[in-house]
Amino acid sequence: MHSRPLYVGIDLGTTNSTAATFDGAALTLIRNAQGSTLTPSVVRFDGRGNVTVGAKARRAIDSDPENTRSEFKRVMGTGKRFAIPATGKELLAEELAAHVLRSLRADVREQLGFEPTAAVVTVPALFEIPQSAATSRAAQLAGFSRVELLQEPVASALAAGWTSDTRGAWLVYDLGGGTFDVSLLETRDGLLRVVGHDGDNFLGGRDFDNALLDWALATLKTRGVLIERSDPRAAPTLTKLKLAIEDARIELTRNERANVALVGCRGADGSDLPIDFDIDRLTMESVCRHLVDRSVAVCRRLLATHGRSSADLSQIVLVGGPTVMPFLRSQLRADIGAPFAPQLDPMTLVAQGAALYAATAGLDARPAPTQREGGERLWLSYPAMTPDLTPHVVGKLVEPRRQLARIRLRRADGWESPEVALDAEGAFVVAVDVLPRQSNELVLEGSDEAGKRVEVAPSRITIVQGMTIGDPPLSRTVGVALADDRVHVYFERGSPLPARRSFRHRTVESVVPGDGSFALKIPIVQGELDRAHLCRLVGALEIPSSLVKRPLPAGSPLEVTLELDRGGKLSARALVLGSGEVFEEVAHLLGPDATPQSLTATIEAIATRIGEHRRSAFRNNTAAMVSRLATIDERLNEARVAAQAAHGGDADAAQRAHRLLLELDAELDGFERDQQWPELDAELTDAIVHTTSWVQEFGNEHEKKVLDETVSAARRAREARQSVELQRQLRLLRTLAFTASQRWPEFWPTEFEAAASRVNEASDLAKAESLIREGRGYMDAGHRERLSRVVRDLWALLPSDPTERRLSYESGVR
Amino acid sequence: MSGGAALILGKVLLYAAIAVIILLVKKASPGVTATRALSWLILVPTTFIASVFALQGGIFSILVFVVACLLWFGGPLATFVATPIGSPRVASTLAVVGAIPHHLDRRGLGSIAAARSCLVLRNRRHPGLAGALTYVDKRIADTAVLRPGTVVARGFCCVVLGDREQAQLLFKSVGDFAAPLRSGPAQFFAARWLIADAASRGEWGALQVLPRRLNTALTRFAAECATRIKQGPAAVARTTLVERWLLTSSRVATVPLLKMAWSAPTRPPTADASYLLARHAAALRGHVTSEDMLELAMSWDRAMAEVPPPFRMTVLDDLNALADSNPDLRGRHPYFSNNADEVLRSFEIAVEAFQRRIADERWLTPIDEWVEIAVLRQLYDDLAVDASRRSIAFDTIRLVITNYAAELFNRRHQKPIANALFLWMEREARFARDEELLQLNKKNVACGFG
Amino acid sequence: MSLVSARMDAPHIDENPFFVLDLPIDCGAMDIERAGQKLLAMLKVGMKDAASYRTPLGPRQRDEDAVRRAMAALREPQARAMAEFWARPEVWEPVHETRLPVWSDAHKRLGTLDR
Ligand SMILES: Nc1ncnc2c1ncn2[C@@H]1O[C@H](COP(=O)(O)OP(=O)(O)O)[C@@H](O)[C@H]1O
Ligand SMILES: [Mg+2]
Repeated sequence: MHSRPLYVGIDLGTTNSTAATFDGAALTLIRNAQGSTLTPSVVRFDGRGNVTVGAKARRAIDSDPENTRSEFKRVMGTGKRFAIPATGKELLAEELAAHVLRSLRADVREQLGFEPTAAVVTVPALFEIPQSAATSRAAQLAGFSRVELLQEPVASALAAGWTSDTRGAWLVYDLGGGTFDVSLLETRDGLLRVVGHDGDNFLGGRDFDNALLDWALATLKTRGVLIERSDPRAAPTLTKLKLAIEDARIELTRNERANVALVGCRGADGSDLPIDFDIDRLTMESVCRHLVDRSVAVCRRLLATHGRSSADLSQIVLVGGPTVMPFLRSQLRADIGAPFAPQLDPMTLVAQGAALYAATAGLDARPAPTQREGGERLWLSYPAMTPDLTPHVVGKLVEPRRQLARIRLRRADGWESPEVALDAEGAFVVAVDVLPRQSNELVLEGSDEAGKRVEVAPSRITIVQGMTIGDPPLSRTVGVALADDRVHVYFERGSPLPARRSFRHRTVESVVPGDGSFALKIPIVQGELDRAHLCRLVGALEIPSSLVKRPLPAGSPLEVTLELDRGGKLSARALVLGSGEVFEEVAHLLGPDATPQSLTATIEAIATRIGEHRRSAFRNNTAAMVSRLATIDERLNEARVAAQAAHGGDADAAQRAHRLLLELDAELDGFERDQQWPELDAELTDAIVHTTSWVQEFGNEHEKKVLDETVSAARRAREARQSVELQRQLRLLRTLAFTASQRWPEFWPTEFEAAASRVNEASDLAKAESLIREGRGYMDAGHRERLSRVVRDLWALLPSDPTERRLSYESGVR
Repeated sequence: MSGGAALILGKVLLYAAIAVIILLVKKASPGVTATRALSWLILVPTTFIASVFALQGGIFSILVFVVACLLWFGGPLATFVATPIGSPRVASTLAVVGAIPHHLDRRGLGSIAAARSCLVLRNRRHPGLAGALTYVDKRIADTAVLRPGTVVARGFCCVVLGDREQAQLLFKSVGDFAAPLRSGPAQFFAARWLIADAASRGEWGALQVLPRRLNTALTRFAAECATRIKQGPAAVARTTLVERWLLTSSRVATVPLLKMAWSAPTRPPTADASYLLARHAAALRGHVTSEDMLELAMSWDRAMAEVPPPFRMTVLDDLNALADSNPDLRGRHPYFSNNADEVLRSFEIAVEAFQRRIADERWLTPIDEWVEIAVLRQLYDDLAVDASRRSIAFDTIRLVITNYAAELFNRRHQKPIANALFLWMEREARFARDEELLQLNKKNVACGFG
Repeated sequence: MSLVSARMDAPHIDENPFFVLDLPIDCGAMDIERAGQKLLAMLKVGMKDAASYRTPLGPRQRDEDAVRRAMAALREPQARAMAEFWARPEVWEPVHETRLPVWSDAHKRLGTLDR
């Protein structure tokens, strides 16, 4: 057993996973049974119940694709299940990931002699709550009882900062198998700060392979070898070819030229396909150049967002397999210009950082000691890793008032703290001196009132001095969706985790005990947009009528508390302030269910919206609008392609399409907001004319006065370009017109006829028909007041526009 | 002394004794008007005769005497004996019996006594509190026809549970009932609690507007005091103060309030405009008057161009929040009403949900129906500070509430609540000059509440 | 909204990081780290000294969450500038303080039984 604490970090990658350990002084990479530090994130099952993980499993991808699963990280936290014919089971992504983590855990045991019980596992910067929570569950399944999550770029940055002394601003450029992340960081006084993230969820080594594959297919075609990408019969050949191309691409890192040769491939007609060609670095460069350009554009965007330029960067840290490609490095150097951080291993940096962070978080991986030290027990608290040269150690006697009266800390090399006395609570605070950039072992020495030595437990602690990062920041804002489609923000993006906050809300609907299946919903959403329906639903707290003990009338105060731990676990509770009842049942949602059908429907809806705007933009001849619409349209096409793939069963593409559509929806909203001015103007003119004519004829003095005030308020709002205010005034104008028009003798009969003509839309046809019969009677008898009641009842039966509440995930609170 | 003189003296003594008893009862049983006290005169001879015979030892007359005493002193016994002991059952029984001769809302008064006993138990951290609360809760929930007493009882339950806001809401809503219904203990306790609550926290602004909802001699007096305390001696004359004080029935208890208002100091002028932020900070600490706040908002308005945008938001948020906690400020400066649209939307959403519930026939217990109405009404009042919003709000609910009230009146036999709603709609219809609805509600109000 | 906020909240004062960490506005990054870690450690072992802090609006409860939020805020230049703006001592120097009186024994006098 190790005498010093040991920290374990794991990079759970889409393509490859890695583990590293840190003992306070040195970082060690864990090697697997094959002797490699990289374990491909591939899991294979066979009929005898054996599970293979890593390189051996990867080799089976083309021979046994049914039972071999890879790239499951991309659908983490969704409900997607992978069918495994060999075992007859269907597994979630997190269950597959658990196999990878279990294998890494076994490798640690091989190397260190004990099973680690705690670890830091990294996740992409933009993982949302369901995805993070699934990752935590995977680690739990793999046998880690304590897990913390850390964002990959933060981990790389920590590792880079530990190994080399950096100051100022720098970039972490992480290009993986399928995703690209870039982060801007800053170091000051040994503290690392994440300034911002950006990235492209759909750019990675795989896209390089796809580009090369396209090129290869074109080359083969000129030689008369025809392979159609869309032909399902060509699929096995394509899979093989793609793997071969990836190998060739990796080979090109070392050599100038690589050969791709496949034997035994058959074409669509069953004939032998002669596949044998060379790729050289120049070809690769020209074929893949645009992909690197895309990543550079993202870097520039990130810098611009935070008001920096590439000249401000002191260095770039490269992370991920594809960044070892020489052509990529030279292109980056030419385009961004900052030097690369030297001597960092792009493949294992993330895991190293995770291990360092485990130290900061004090997440010792050693199993709890079986035998206790003797002596008076102390409850100690101190930073296990700190940038501070004089941190504080705080302690308190577990059982109050024993002999222990004073305490002193002594460092192994002789430094001693002054002796401090325990206070009335049996607690003490000591400032200690630690040596920079190393692990400091400190011995606690206790004495009683008379100065006689008293044994204490624990008697020694370790504090590592070095660069640390603050608490991991939340990647996306979390809040509660309100009934009016606004979001009440609980945790701002970037808030330190764990986090916990309470706010007061009021219910908008009554909950009556035992009232069937009704439940008041408190939806929890995540996202940066201020309208709830544009954010992602990540959970919902429910107050079901079957559980309330006494009726909860609308308007009752509720105190809602949200709590988010570092593992992405979201808990929530609602306290009914009147009765003291507590509801904690959170329906944990999976990532959204992006069914191909729903995707297609959304695409159609957006396309219609774009079409309408385009027509009016052409009519008004506004070129800027047309081109802005064109960009939106282009991205809609991307979504179409992804949705197409989703129809073919590609869950990853479905996720991508879903996200794209959400973004497009928000963008169109913004477009419409900018667009509405001319429309609002026209509407205002209309409304003024309309209302004035009604009010002049039928309005009373009071209404005329309100009309004057409203018209001038509306004009003021238009001058000041306050669209919300203007809309409010418009609503007021309409109300005025409505009130006045009701005094028109023909008003109710007209409205009655209009409503009656829509009877087939009524939610309760029988009731509507009886109302109409009733109304006819009143009309003939000239009962205006009764007719008005009938019309209003009819209106209630006719469908209105979808209300905001339905949009807002049916939120029941305000 | 001749027999005649003795007879006259005896009569005088008897009448004097009756007068003293009436006065004592009036003192001890709060909120009882003189006319009601007169009604006891019927009881008096009965009691007297029974007591004379009881002295001679007749079992029957002793029984009659005891019953008469309970009818006499049930209220005071509940208030001064059973409630302080903390026994909700005994208190409510006594209060009910004591209310028989003079009050319509017997069940409500019983519930008030029971709820106040719970308050005593809470003050003592008594373990029996939970059981007592369950009893009161059930009593309130089982009330067939809701009258103000039950509303006040629920208010005290909220006080016990620490939900001060809901308690305020309920106590204020007592003022919405027709005057004869709310007179007596219900109104008495509600007004006293609201005044004590606001005055002990220095929330004078809330007291100033209290008579708009709960209009009694006591709240009117408190409002004048609050105005003088907040705005200085020039705002309210001492004679007005004393006049109002004499009209209240709680003269002894309110002497300290009278004194505070009597000697309210002159507010120094807000000349010190030198340091805006310092004044802002002082406002946050609650050390300024409404007039200072108004001045502060105007100074911010002038300075806003130079304030960097992120700070602008916090300043506006602060001003908004300050205005929220001080109804006196609402609508007096644009910076104080930034969230009025939010209120309007909340109101519309609340009405929509309410309407749907009624359409689905998801009825609540009468008290919970009332709570929901009180919430709507509070939102409505928040909006009504501005005439144009008041029109929108009125248009949103005019028929919803009228129809709902008619339903309560006709089918659900909740005449007192229905009457309160008709009164509300009548007032608003008059404001909006909505003749049709005004006539309708006038007729409805005339249908009464009993 | 009037129904929601019973007490006036001013989070930029109540939760001002300089007040939470009890630091002067010109402190450095390392002071923040040191003060924050010390408070976290003290809160973790439950020392009473750390359980509350003073603000110009009165004492407030301190918990680990508030400390960590404060540390994070002071690391962000923008959030720090905002916090400094409101924590400057001269802001809190009293202008003419006209504290309104309260009737402290109103509940007792009026016999509401509440306290
Ligand atoms: N030596 C290499 N040269 C070029 N590409 C490589 C090399 N090694 C790995 N790759 C590519 O890197 C990608 C995997 O990178 P990695 O960082 O492990 O991904 P992830 O973080 O998604 O797990 C694969 O697309 C692989 O083809
Ligand atoms: Mg990676």
